[in-house]
Amino acid sequence: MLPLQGINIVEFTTSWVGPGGGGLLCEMGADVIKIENPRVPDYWRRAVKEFHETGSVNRSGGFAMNNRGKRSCALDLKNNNENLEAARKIIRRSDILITNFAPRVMNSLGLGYEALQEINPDLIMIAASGYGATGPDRDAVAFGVCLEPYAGLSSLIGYSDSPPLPCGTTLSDLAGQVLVAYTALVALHHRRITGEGQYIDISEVESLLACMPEAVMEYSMNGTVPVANGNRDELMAPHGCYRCAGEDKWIAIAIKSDKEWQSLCRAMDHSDLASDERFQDAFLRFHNQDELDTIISQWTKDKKPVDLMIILQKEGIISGPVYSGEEIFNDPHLRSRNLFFEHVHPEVGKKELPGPFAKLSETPWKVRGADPLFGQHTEEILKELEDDDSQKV
Amino acid sequence: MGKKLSLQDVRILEYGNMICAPYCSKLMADLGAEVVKIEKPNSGDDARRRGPFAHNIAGNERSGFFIYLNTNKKSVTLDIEKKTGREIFKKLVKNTDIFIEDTAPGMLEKFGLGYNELKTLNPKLIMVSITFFGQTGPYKNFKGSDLIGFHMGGIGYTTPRWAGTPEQEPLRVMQLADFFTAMAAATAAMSALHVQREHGIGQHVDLSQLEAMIRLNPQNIARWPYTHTNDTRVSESELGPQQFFRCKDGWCFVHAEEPHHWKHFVEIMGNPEWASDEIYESAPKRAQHWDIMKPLVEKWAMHHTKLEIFEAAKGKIPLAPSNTIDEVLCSRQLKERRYFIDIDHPAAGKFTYPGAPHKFSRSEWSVRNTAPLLGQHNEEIYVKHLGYSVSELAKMAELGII
Repeated sequence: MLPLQGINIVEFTTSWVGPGGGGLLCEMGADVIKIENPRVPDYWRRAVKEFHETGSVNRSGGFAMNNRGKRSCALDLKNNNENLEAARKIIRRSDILITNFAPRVMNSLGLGYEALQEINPDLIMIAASGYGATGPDRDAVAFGVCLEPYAGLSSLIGYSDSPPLPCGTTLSDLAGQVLVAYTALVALHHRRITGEGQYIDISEVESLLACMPEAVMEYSMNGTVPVANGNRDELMAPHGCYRCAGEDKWIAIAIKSDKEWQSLCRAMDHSDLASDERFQDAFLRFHNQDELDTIISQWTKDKKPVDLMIILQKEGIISGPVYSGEEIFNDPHLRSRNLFFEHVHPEVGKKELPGPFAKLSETPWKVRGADPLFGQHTEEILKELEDDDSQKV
Repeated sequence: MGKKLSLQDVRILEYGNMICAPYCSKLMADLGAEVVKIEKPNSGDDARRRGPFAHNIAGNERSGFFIYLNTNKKSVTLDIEKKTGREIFKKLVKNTDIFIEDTAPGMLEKFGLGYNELKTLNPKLIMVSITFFGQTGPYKNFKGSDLIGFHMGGIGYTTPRWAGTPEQEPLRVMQLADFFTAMAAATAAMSALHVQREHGIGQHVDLSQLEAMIRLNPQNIARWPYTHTNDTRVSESELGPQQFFRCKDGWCFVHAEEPHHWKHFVEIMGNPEWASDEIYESAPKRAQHWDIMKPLVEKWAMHHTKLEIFEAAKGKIPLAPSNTIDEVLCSRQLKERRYFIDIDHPAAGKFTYPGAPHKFSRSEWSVRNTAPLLGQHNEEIYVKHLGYSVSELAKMAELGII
């Protein structure tokens, strides 16, 4: 049994935050229909080299990871009453609607929450957007990468004195997709008790800011505008990434206590350091971090990150390699926990991607097949709608 | 129709420290769940000793960080290493829907409080165990932290994106790995709650921070199996421009990859002649020639403020100002949406905090009670609910059990 067996979801989504949220709920067992626009296929179907090289919208790994197990229904909704009617029928039999189009889009299609309440009064509608569904900036075009700078996060990413820098992945979408799944589950609980559906407005900027309280209160409590500080921590020192042997190889190390510091000196076989006055307690280490980092790098630079992790963890030291994508797929620990799932896709063949992030002992989540080809299930779904109609007659 | 506290009928027991377990249960407490937080006698959650502190004066009850992470919770103190502490703990578990904990694997088993023991006391119990590496596997006893989750999970290797050099180290971003882990855990908890309420089944949830970071990041992770290449800090953006540029009073970020976005961007720059050069005619070419384009864009942008540029781009181009935190707190958008909230805490005073990460039309999100003082609810929980006497409570406090 899957947790959300019997729950029907319809998506009007593109890119990451909406499809990612729907993808998590799909792993939990919901049946997810993704309505796709034939004129403008999901941005992630297109935002890869493979699309520019082959013209195919079915070859994107990122799209696959967000949309595995869903059904794709291609419907052009612009000025097309027949297709709009089909979309309404799908919505009528859905528990949850997820959209991450700009707030005005669903309204302009006549599929705003108020209109939909008339055809499905207890519908749960989740609208995720960059800036939220209200306010003066609601219509600003919100691609994820713009939201980190807007939320103040880019000013906190960087080396000292560097300009604002983008994070390696779009954090606002990463956070927002989880909230889409979380709020869907809260709304289902609410509906179970009250019978009511509802509308949920998720602003990615706001969900990101909720994960940055230290920065907000540093200003509200003390009037200090926080700035980027590399990998460094408020309390722990040393705390950073140290160069290792090989091309672009690094190990991350965090020292929380004086005891851990002594363990690190032991692991480094550096007894002088253990008694060095400059590093005797956390306060001193915090102030002498530049020297400390140089000394640690001297030790790490000719060693492999994974070997270092084994040495350090044996001494109880918080540490781990900075992994590339390839290294993640080859990690023996993740392999032993069966994180990766293989699916077979009609166009790209066998592919392996990470599966559920949580292991539930009684009703485990499950990757439920490949990502759909564009419009793969259109006929099947339209046939189901016809069957629904004939049953009513 | 009025709003309701949707999770009012959900009882949560938290045995957590710092961010992962506490933010997980905060998400649910703010929607009405009753959360009892178990803290170590005398010291409590380590977040109490992490800043920022009100007016920069440190103190167990003055950490804005702790006050944010523990709204609407009840605090009891309890030492589960003591036999009496364990007995009390079991009584608390009996009356709980969801037990959220972040101890090292095997630690609770050592005290006879592992999932297998607890489920005999409460068969419908949902136990959510949050760890860095999970309950099984060769690294299960390894120590982790936000820094490790971020870097080992694959985001650090690519941060900063499009701007890094192999000489400079990969960067982490605030303590986001911990916050994201907490959100993932709350989602897993709600998924198990759905099963408990629909089918009467309890279960154990094993959540590893490392795995959450990997699963939630398709943008970087899916690249390897599909292209046998890795995203790195030095990779150029393939499609562009997607870059920061300088303006009169700071920086803006533009993402003018799609043809219509590029066209509008050229328009707001006043249709300069350089923009029609064929080296800018496609997204891959624009990405490739950013070095040449950047000074030309900045020549225009240096005459305008970031807000002027943002307003001109609104509705047309994915473009945003890079705000500093003081600017974010004054944002017209966030003000109009009443995002930030003031919390008046009895020991720390009144300050501004981030508000709800979502807006429900029917589910109430509110700070009904500020974060608890350490052990503030010992009497309410131990005397009123569990039936200990006030004098027993005093004795247990003397002995360091509570």
